[in-house]
Parts: sequence; C-alpha cells; structure tokens
Amino acid sequence: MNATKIEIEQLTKQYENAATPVIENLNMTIQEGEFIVIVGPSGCGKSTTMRMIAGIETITSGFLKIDGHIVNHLPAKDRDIAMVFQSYALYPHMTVFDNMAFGLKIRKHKKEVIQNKVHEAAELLGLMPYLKRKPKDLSGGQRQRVALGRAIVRNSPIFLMDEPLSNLDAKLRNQMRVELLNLHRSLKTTTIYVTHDQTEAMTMADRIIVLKDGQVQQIGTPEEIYRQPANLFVGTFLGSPQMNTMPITLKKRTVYLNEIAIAQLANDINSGRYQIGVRPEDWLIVETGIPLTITHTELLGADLHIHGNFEHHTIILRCDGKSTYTIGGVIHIMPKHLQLFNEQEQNIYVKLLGE
Amino acid sequence: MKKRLTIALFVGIPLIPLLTFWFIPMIVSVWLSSTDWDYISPDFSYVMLDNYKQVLTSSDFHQALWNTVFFGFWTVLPTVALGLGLALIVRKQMVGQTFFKGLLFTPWITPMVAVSIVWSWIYEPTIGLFNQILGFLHLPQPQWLTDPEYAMWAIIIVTIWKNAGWAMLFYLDALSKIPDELYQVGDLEGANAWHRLRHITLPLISPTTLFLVVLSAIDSIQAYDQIQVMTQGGPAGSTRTLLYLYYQLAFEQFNMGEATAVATLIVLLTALLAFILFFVSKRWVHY
Ligand SMILES: Nc1ncnc2c1ncn2[C@@H]1O[C@H](COP(=O)(O)OP(=O)(O)OP(=O)(O)O)[C@@H](O)[C@H]1O
Ligand SMILES: [Mg+2]
Repeated sequence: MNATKIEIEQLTKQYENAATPVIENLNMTIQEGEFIVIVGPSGCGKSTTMRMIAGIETITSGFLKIDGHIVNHLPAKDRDIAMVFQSYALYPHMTVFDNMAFGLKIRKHKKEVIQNKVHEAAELLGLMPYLKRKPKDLSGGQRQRVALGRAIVRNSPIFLMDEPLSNLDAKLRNQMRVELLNLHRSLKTTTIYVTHDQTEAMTMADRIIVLKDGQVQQIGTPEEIYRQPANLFVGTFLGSPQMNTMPITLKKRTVYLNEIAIAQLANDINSGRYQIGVRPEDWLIVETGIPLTITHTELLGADLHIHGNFEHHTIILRCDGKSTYTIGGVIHIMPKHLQLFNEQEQNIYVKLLGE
Repeated sequence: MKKRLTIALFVGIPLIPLLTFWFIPMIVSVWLSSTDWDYISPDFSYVMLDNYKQVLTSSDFHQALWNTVFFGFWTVLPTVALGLGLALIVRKQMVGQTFFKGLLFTPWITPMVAVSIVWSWIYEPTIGLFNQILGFLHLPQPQWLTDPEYAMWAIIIVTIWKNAGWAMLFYLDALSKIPDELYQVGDLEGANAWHRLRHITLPLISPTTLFLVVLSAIDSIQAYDQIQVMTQGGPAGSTRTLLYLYYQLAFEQFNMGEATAVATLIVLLTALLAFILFFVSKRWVHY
C-alpha cells in the first residue's frame, strides 16, 4: 500500500448560515507517510478541516489535492480515506465485530480476510472480549476504541483521527499512543491527527499545525513549535504549565521588567515596549534578579512547580522535585531564554547575550 | 390504608370504561356464541360448539378468511413500503416540504366513509376518473366495483391511498432521528445507495416498521367502512372479510350465535398475528 501526499491550497469553508468562514485560506502540504497533528482551541475548525479532506463536508473554495489530483468533488467513498470520528459514530444496531467489519464487508472482502483483520485490530485495541456486544453496552473508552478499530482495519493510505484517545484513562492512552505510533511506523500511512493533549501532540507529530479561528498560526516540528513559536498565541497554547508572558520595556538591548534589568539581548532591536514569553523551565534561580514571593508550590513527581508573584505579575517556574521552598519566602529569578513579541504579537526571535 | 385507597382509585376508575365497553361485551359475546339467539326473541337455547362447527365448515367463512388474509397482506405491505418511499422522497426536497406532508396526510384525517364515496365515483366504469385515465393510456378499463376479479383490488387501493400518508409521517420522524454521521461513516466506508438503505436506514427505522405493520394489520382486520360503502361485501362475496361476515350474520341474518362465533375467531386470529409478529420481529427489529 502506498502512502499518499495531500496538498491543501487556499482552502476555505463557510457554512451557509454563518457570517464568517470557519476555515479561511488554509495552505499546507502533507508529505507521504507524514504524521501531522492539528492542535487549536475548541471550535477553531479542526474537525471541519478533516471532514473536508474526508469528503463529507463540501469545500467552499480552494483546492484539495490527493497525490496531485484535485479531488474537491470526488465522493467520499472514492477517496479511500479512513477516519475516526470525534463522536465515534458507531452503528447502534451492529455488534462491535460488525461495526469494525462494515467497510470490509461492503468492499466485498473474503470472510476469512475480514475475520483476521478485525481480530488483529481488536487484539491491538484490547477489544477481543467485546466483539459480540452492541455499542450501547460499552463504556465511552471502549466505544472510542471500536471507532479506532473500524478505521484501522481499512488499511487506507490516508488515516484521519479526530481526538481518537480523548476518552481513555491515562494509562490506556499512553499505551494506545505507542500502539498507534508503531502502527504508523509499520504502515507508513499519511496521518492527520487532532488532539487537545499536549503529550500526544509533542510526541507523535512529525509536524504540528496550530490553528486558531480557522487560520494557520504555525506549521513546524514539535521542537520548532515549542522553541520558536511564531507568535504569542502559539507560545502560550503549547506547553504546560503555560509560558509566562509579561510586558517589558527594551532600552538599548536591555530588557526591563518594572525597572529591573532582567536580560541582555544579543540582537539589535528597536527600543520600545514589547511582551516577553518565558517557559517555566527557562528561569534560573539567582542571587539578585526578579524577587518572587512564593504563593504556592505543586509537586508533580519529578518536577516542582513554583507559583509566585512579583508586583502584579504571576510567574510559574519549574524546578527539580527534590528541592523545597517555603510559601511566603522570596526567591530571585532570571530568564535564561525568552521570546520577544512585538505589538502584533509576532515573535522577533531574539537570543540572549551568551546564549 | 390511605395509600391502598389511592391505588384502588387510580386503578379502579380507568377500569370502569374498560370493563363496560370491553371485558363485559367480550364475555357476553363469547357466551352468546354458544347459543342460538336470533337477536330479537327473548328466549334461546344452548348449542355449545355447534356455531363454531357450522362456521368453520361453511364455505362463506373460508372465503372470508382468505379475503381477510389477502386484503391484509396487500394493504399492509404496500402501505408501509409506500409510506417509507414517500418519506424518503419528501425528506430530500427542501421547498414545499410542509405542503407535501400536509397533502399526503389529508386522506388519513378524512373520514373513511367520505373517502369511499368519492372513490366509488372515481371507480365508476364509464365516466369515472380512474377508467378515463386508463382509457387515455390504452389500458383495460375494468368494472371496478362489480367485477369479482377487481372489487377487492378496488378496496385495497382506497385503503392504501388513505393510510400511506399516515405511515409516511411516522417514517419521516424516524428518519430525522438517524444522525447524519452514520451516513457519513457509510460514505467513507464505501457504501452506495443500496448499502445505505439496507444496512443503515432500514435497521435503524425497524421499530417504526414493526409499529406500522402491527397497527395497519389490526386496521386491515377491522376494515368495514370502505366495504360497506363501495361493495357491501359483494360481488359474489369477493370483498367479504371476516368482520364483514360477522356484520352480515349478526345484523342481516340475525344469527347472533354464528356471528359471535366469528367474532371470537377474529379475536383469536388477531392474537395469533400479534404472537407471530412479536417473535418474528425479534430477528429484524433493532431497538
Ligand atoms: N453545520 C454547521 N453549521 C454552522 N456552523 C458549524 C457547523 N458545523 C460546525 N460549525 C462551526 O464551525 C466551527 C468549527 O467547528 P469544528 O467542529 O471544526 O471545531 P473543532 O476545532 O473540531 O472543535 P473541537 O476541538 O471542539 O472539536 C465552530 O465554531 C462550529 O460552531
Ligand atoms: Mg472537533
């Protein structure tokens, strides 16, 4: 089975009764065998984009190309795309087995072939004990896995997954994440994956697409997205706890936060007012710097999150879980790395002196 | 104590009409079927099962039984199928949907007697609308209501015409409850129009189908108005169903014993039908 390239050019979707488009001039190229993760706030158009690619939602304007051919008007059934629906969309009158076998039966595969494929997928997803049950007798997580299984058995060159693990417990989710990645590595299926889970986005993606209000904010590898966010939104959207942001003044390469000099830039940037973004792990605890009054701490096993106030700024930093701090005490901190955002909230990509 | 009284009241009051109009008449009817009462004279004698013997061996009964089954089969299936077909068509179109729904539903709210009178004009052999159209199409123009070959079909057509819109309304509701996503999955999985109907639509509306089959089957056993107005069971008993036979025995021949025997048999037949449908339905109805 050959993996397939998907090209999206100026793709726009506007519902008839809506004032503004849900998706506006979307451009992206998804390479053969690539694993793409789409993230973005609820309602930003992730599902809509997938549904257009799948062919179950009409395209208002722009082009969708699969393997170089424009498929805007190709019916869904001829696109050979497997999709996991956000709402599962299982057939209530069919057993788990029949739900998973539906597409294969319709495509007239041999009985033994269907049986083998369904059992293989059920094994992978831990669904063997439930094959004879109807969806209404399953838990949410089990239903979700059936939806996933129905897509897996199809062996399509394109695999769309709309939050396929959202309903699983943490352990099962980690396990399924690994299984899906293994599956992807062995089949090399071109995959588009929607998720709200940071870990999934960071660990699974070849490239991440960040969407907001139907517009692409940034496309890049997880590292690029995390280390070099294109704008303030991307910076704060990915990463947990969130990137610390605060307004600063820049005078001759020196960054001032409320009159305290906190960093020296290596680049020449016009003086003026900016916003900086500092990841929680990018703070250094120093002798003199920003005096931070600790309000509370959270121990998350290996990491310790320290929440503190400096004047009216709230700052979170992450440090080793073995250290202890007293609430109400004051520590001094300095950024070792930061993002500088201009008035349009675009990143100007600066480096600190000595970085 | 007070609670018991409340229960007795709430169960008891609805039971009064049920007793008066259903249980008591039924028991009296079964009792009458063992007598030779002639509907008028005050005296009668018991004949035990003679009425049943008489009825079950009479050719009129056999003919009526066959007519009932024939009428039931050819009204229930087409009514349900046509109802579904209309629902599928009406649902697709956007403009004038309410108008068409209304138009197709009007026959159901029109009294059967009125409908039958109008249709007996339509069936009029020489100037009736039906034969005018058939003549225009160069098709045979039968004597609809007076030819034993065609009379039953005439009754069947009216009955279907009256009930199809009603079935359509139930199907429209059932269809609107199927989530779009189930069809979208079907599209993705490669389903064509037939697959969609066979594997998605039909199973998901099967409870409605069962409901409609049961109700129209019972309705077909109780058909009376259209037969009374259009053919009075004739010609040559070709439109005489069991219920109409009961009516003729009771109120034309005043043979109450045999009539109530037929009535009892109708009840048994209905029970048998319900029983069969209940068991058969387990195989194809998905709740
Ligand atoms: N049929 C429709 N008609 C009008 N607007 C719609 C329709 N379907 C979706 N929308 C709107 O389109 C926008 C994008 O929806 P979409 O389902 O793509 O969001 P999403 O990014 O998948 O969100 P989530 O993360 O919550 O699943 C939403 O604002 C939604 O209200
Ligand atoms: Mg969605």
